[in-house]
Amino acid sequence: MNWLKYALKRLVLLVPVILSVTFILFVILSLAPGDVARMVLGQDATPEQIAELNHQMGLDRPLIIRYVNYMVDALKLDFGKSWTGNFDVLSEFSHRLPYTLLVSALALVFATGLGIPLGIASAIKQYSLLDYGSTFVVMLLFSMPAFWLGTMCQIFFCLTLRWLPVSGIASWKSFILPPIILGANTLASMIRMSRTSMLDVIKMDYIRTARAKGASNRDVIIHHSIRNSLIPVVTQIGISFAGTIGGAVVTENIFAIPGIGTMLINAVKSRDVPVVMGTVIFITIIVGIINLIVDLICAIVDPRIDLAS
Amino acid sequence: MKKLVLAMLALLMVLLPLAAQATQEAAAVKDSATLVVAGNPYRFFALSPKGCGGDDNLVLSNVYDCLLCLEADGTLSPALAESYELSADGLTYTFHLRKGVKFSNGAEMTAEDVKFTFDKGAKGPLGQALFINFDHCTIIDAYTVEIGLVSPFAAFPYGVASRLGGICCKAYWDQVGDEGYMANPIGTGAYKLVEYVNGDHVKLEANADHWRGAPAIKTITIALVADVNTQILGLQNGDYDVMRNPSIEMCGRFDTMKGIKTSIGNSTARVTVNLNAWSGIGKDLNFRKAVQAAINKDDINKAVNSGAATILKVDICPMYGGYPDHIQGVAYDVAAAKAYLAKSSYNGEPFVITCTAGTTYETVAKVMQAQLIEIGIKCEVEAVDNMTYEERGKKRNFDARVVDEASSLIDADSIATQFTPSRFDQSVWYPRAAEIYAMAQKGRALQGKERTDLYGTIAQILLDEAYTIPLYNGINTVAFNENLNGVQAHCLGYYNFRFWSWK
Repeated sequence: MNWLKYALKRLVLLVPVILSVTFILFVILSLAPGDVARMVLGQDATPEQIAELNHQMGLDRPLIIRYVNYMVDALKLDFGKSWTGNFDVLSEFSHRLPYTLLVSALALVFATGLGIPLGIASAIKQYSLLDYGSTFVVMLLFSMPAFWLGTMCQIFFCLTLRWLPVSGIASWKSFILPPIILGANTLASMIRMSRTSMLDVIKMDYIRTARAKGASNRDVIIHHSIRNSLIPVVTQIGISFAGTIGGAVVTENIFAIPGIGTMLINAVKSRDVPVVMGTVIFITIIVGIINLIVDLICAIVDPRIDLAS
Repeated sequence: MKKLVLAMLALLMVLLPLAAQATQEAAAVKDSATLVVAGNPYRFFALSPKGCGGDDNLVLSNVYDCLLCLEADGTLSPALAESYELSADGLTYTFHLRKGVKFSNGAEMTAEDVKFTFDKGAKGPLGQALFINFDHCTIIDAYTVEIGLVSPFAAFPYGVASRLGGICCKAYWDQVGDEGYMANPIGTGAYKLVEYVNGDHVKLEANADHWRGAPAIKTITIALVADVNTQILGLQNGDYDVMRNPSIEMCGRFDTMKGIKTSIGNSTARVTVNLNAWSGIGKDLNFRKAVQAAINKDDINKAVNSGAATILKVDICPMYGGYPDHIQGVAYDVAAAKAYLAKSSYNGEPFVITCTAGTTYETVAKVMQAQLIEIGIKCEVEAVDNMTYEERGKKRNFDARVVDEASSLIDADSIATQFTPSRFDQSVWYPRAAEIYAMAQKGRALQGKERTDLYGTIAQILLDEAYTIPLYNGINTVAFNENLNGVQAHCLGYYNFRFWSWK
């Protein structure tokens, strides 16, 4: 039951993280210039109408009171209503989250499914054409920003070949390009990480011992090398998944996917505090849980990791 | 391992052509059209306490009909009112309603709905801006209403044709209230709202029982896409049929492409520069006049609009009611600008032009910066985000500010916006603000030449005092599939979908 105690401890530690993140964010948003009520109602609204809306949004109260009220409501799963849109933050988030998770998960599947085998193959065939080719791909993917790569892919696959839709979520084919673009950087990380890790492992004494005992090359790689080389890669997968959720902000914008990324961008632009706060809280929790799961998986993959300590 | 890598690549190669096949099959059927926009329309009930804005107009203008209709070129035509009369004293409008008009829920539109719309609209956040001088609405009979004003206002019919004048169903509102109406709007318009997915799309369906006849296109989808590149590629690809407001430069490129046409029209906005005249160097009239004479509007127009916009002589658009055609603007004159600067108390301090970042107004500011540096003003550009920009404007915290001043009423009355005392703290009033505002108030009651002359006098004061520098008339653009008929840039930036049809 060590893992359960460990998981509970980590979840408890999430609380101060969420409090710190939300408080800093709340202060920054509150200090930023701009009159939200006037923006919502327009320049011609009367001062009374502006004051009324400010009162409804609670903006006439001191900052600390507003923050405490918000967090108390959030504990009751009431994340409020958008100030600049006509929607409830929690229901909107729950409507959008599946798109973000789907694109992020597909991106990760693409990156790990292609990256780990390619990295391991590069390590096994070090200095071969495959190795040089994969290194070139890694450098290429690292140096191309998502917004540029996304546009280039849209031009080639959507405009020139007319194979895919440019944007939207109308069908399954809308979910081909976005994960590839979102996962491109992670793919490069996976190739590099798994190649390096595999190279380290195959130089270990126990691998040499296995070979000396007459184990076949296939057995050595599958039973002795891969599992051990995957430990840092699993950690990297967790970090990358958290990263893809953040990176989804750009990708969702390019491909017009109605996920939490586009919601967050719009909310920040319009100082929509309930939406920004709610989204950040959810993302913090999701990333925290992902990191926890990664640590637990690491403990399973590598028995030397003692969760109790 | 190699096999696994090859398998992944093979899977990709299989998926992509499959997707291609599906895309080409989907393109075959066409009784719908998709408009792509960057903004997010979400307020579908203009009478709500939350008001509504420009993007909402895309939906409102098609779901609701007004008593009068604002055409793309800014003229008015009859809509739910077959005709109207204005009393001799200019205080009472009598509207004769069209009979047999149905709301999309089947209820008949009557005078009671008109009274409800005007009474509620006048009390809301847009009432003061769009129902100017409104006093009361009286039902004469089921198909006749009288709207009384507290004092005459020549541009009142434009308010009637504005987004706030979309006639709403009173009986339905009694049932569902503001929130219910916002979620499921009911109007007499050519289209009905059938689906709204926040941040993704709005779907409208043709109202087969519309009093003008059923629209040609059954379904209009408004796709919400923030990225302009994606909008452009989607239009070229055929994912979208109409793109709202591409840049002028992009319009030029679209015109050379097969299958895409563009339409460019004047908007109701005027792009001007407001100068600070209440503090710092801006208090010096000679300095303001130096800035005024140093601005080459043609260069700005070329840089921003490829020369397509109409240069403004005064701070009033030519399409506005009350436009004083007889007033001449201030000519670009570098020698005069230098002479004014020499006479001023300018000591080389920075002069900052504030604008919104990443917009064409940043380009305006940068061209102006070069022109002002040329006469010896140490000019800087401060490009800020939209909220900061609005805040600075409200507090009048700027040396100069590039402004896009739109007018829903399409009337010279809009010139008074910067001089409305209640909008600003007294410490940042323009020195002659009260005088200008009083004149504009008087102008509301006048008609014909008398009115034009008065707005001419106001415009001349603004030029003489160099409070604002009018640059150019805003433009609206639209790019669309060449097989789509009836698409036209509207002066208020929305579209009447009922005109659209496929060839």
